[in-house]
Order: sequence, then structure tokens, then C-alpha cells
Amino acid sequence: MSNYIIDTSLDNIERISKVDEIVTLPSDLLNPYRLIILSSLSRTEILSFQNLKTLTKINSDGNLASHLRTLEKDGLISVHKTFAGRYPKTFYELTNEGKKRFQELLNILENYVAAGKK
Amino acid sequence: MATKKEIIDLFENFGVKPSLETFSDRKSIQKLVYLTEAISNVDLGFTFTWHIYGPYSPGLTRVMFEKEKGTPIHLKENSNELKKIRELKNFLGKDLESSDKLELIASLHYVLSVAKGKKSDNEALATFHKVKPQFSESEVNEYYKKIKPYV
Repeated sequence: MSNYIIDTSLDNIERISKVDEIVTLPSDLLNPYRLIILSSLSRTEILSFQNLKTLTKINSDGNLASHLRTLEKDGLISVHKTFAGRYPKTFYELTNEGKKRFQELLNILENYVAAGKK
Repeated sequence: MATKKEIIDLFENFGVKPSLETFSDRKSIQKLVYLTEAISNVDLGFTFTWHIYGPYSPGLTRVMFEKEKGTPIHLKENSNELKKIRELKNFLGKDLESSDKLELIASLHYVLSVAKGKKSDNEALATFHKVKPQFSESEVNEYYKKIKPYV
């Protein structure tokens, strides 16, 4: 092999290309707060606005609402409005697309970690 | 590793003014330096690893952004090396002007070189299509025939 080439196998090239998929992910998905929202919803399935506020530690309602709107606009979460007694309550859950995209993201991150260990 | 001045001189030989302005400019620098090492066999002292956009040398980036000085390789004084660079210029022709074409040629050369002696060309081409799906089969086949003698 020529001395100016570092990689030694086609598998290596494929693995690196998969790892590099991370840079092609939309920045919407890589925002840390949106990641926490997606991660929380993937584990708990349905969460209220207040639950998400506690989990994400976002103090401002406006800020959290903005992240949730972005995720809803991207088709990753769905919103359900209901009443708890006399008070309106909003719940959020992952859509099928959201579940799929979040799993893809986890797969890419797992590849990233695996490549780092080699 | 060659110095920044020598890389700029190298590009003059290609009739190209190197620029770090846009992503496409920087990609062209990486691929042309790779092809100079790979096809012209001119040792500029850089090593390349696989990156999402094909062969990439972190050392070359450091030299071009002046994070590292490099070591003179006295390219200007070596007429034989300059002749090989002129041949590469003719070989590339119009493709010199397209960073995407340079990416295709350099990446294909890299994948075939890595596979050489270990995997068949067909296996290498299958990998290439997986990692570079943006290039059409006919385009890849055309450049495969062109660069195969240099692998």
C-alpha cells in the first residue's frame, strides 16, 4: 500500500463513512434540548409540557415551546390538548417518524462510539 | 510535508489559484494534492485518510492554514517532478475546474488503492457506490477506466 494512504481496508472506509453521517444530520436533531425531549419521549411515550420542562431543565416556557414547535413542524412529535378538570393540559408524544429518526440517530452515535474504540 | 508556498506554486503549475475561501475551494486543494501524490507519484509528504468527501489530509489543512510550517521539498528545482505535474494537468483537463469531479477521481483512486491486492475491483466499486451514492454508475465506470492504470 502506498505510504500516503492511511486506511487499510474497504470496511474501514465504510465504517468511517457511516460515522461521518453524523455531520449530515439536520441541526434540528442535534440541538441538545431537542435531543433531551426526543430521548425523554422515547422512554416515557407521553409527557406533559410541565414534565418536559422539568426533564429538560429549560426555565422559560417560551423557549421550551419553541423547541417543541420545531419538532412538531419536522413531524417528529405530535401534540394533544386536553382538559384536566377546568385547566387545559398539553401532552406530547413521538410520531412514528420521530421514533424512526431517533433510532437512526442512536445507530449513528453507536457507530461513532464503536469507531472510536477501534 | 511541503510548505504552503510550495503548494501555491504547485497550483500555479495546474493553472489554478488556490483559495481557502469556500468549502469547494478547500476540497479542490485536498483532492489535487492527493492526486499529485497518487497519480503523479510526486512525494509532497502528506498522508491521507478517508473522510466523507474522500481522501483528506489533516496535515495539509494545518499547512494551508499556517498552523504548521512544513518542510521545503524543493519542488521547483526538480524538472522531472514538474513534468509529471504537467502530465497530471493534461490528464485531468476540464475536471481541474470542478471540485466534485476531483472528489470523484481522488475518492475512486483511494478506494481502489485500499482494496488493491486484497479485494477485487468489483468489490471496491461496490464499496465506492455505497459511500459515494451521489455519483452515477456510468460516471464511475467512465472514471474507473481512466484511473485504473494509475492504481
